Amino acid sequence: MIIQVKAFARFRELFGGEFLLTLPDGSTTGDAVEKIAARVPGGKEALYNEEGTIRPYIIILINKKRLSGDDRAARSLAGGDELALLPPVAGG
Amino acid sequence: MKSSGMLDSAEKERYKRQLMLIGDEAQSRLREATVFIAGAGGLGCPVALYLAAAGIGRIVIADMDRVEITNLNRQVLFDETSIGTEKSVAVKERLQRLNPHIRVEAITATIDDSSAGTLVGSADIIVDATDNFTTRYSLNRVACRNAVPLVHGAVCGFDGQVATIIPGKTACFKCMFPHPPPTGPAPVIGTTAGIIGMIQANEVIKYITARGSLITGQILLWDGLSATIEYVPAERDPACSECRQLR
Ligand SMILES: [Zn+2]
Repeated sequence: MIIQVKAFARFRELFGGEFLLTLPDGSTTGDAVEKIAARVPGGKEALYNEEGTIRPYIIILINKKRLSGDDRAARSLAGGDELALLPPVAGG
Repeated sequence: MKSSGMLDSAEKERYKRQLMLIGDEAQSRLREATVFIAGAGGLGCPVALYLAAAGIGRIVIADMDRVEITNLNRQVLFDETSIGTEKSVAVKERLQRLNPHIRVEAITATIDDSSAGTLVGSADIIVDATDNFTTRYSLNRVACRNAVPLVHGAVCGFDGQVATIIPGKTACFKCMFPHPPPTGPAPVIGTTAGIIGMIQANEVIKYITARGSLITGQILLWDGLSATIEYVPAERDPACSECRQLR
């Protein structure tokens, strides 16, 4: 299946703003994030903490609906889904 | 705070071009309002400047820092003569020269859980112009407790975000951002802070004059490199530690 990925702010510079991702059928958001992390050097550090979980402050949306808890990595995907990754900014 | 009532002739002249748009009653509302601005930096400067020009009757601005040369690429209320001055005091002096009809109160203090309630006082609305999530969580707590709106803004590089929080009605800051991103000196171009600050000041004016619609239940994302704005939804978290009891 093919999903659409949208990256914001710092992630847009790192991964590209919008791109398509091909995944095996039955893939989850966790699988998608892992594949995105492997796209560029520094991708893994940007998306995962030392324990190997997706950094908790990163906002993950599927089809504009925010994922929380276990769904952040375990939500199953369908072809045509839009996965958005947003790292909040903090400066002022 | 000035008592409510008619605008005097000097005010009518000063605000002539916006009175054509919003009318005397809305202008009086701006004059009767108290706005608390947390932070007198890259966001706080443009927010304070435009709210003072618009005629917000009482502006309370809090910041713990003094002006440094590295501030001047974005903190547009300061100049080289301000270096070493307390930021809140420098802002107050500048705003009083711009608009003597309003009252500006400068506070040099750290905003945290123990001080935020007192500092915010009875403000009608809070503007988050801070540079870290710890302070933002403190402001959100006060906004929820006082049931007053909080206009959040943040910037990094060419990117920025804005969200207006109406406690009990819309997602609060903690619902939107349950986990803080790492903090540190963020790279920022002055124009990003200017644009985000303008959107925040515009939210304040809309709220006080009851015009248009606010950026609630969503986060506005500004991408300066492509000059585009997008929104991502932000729903209330029924288990939110800060706002779950509010209706
Ligand atoms: Zn909440």
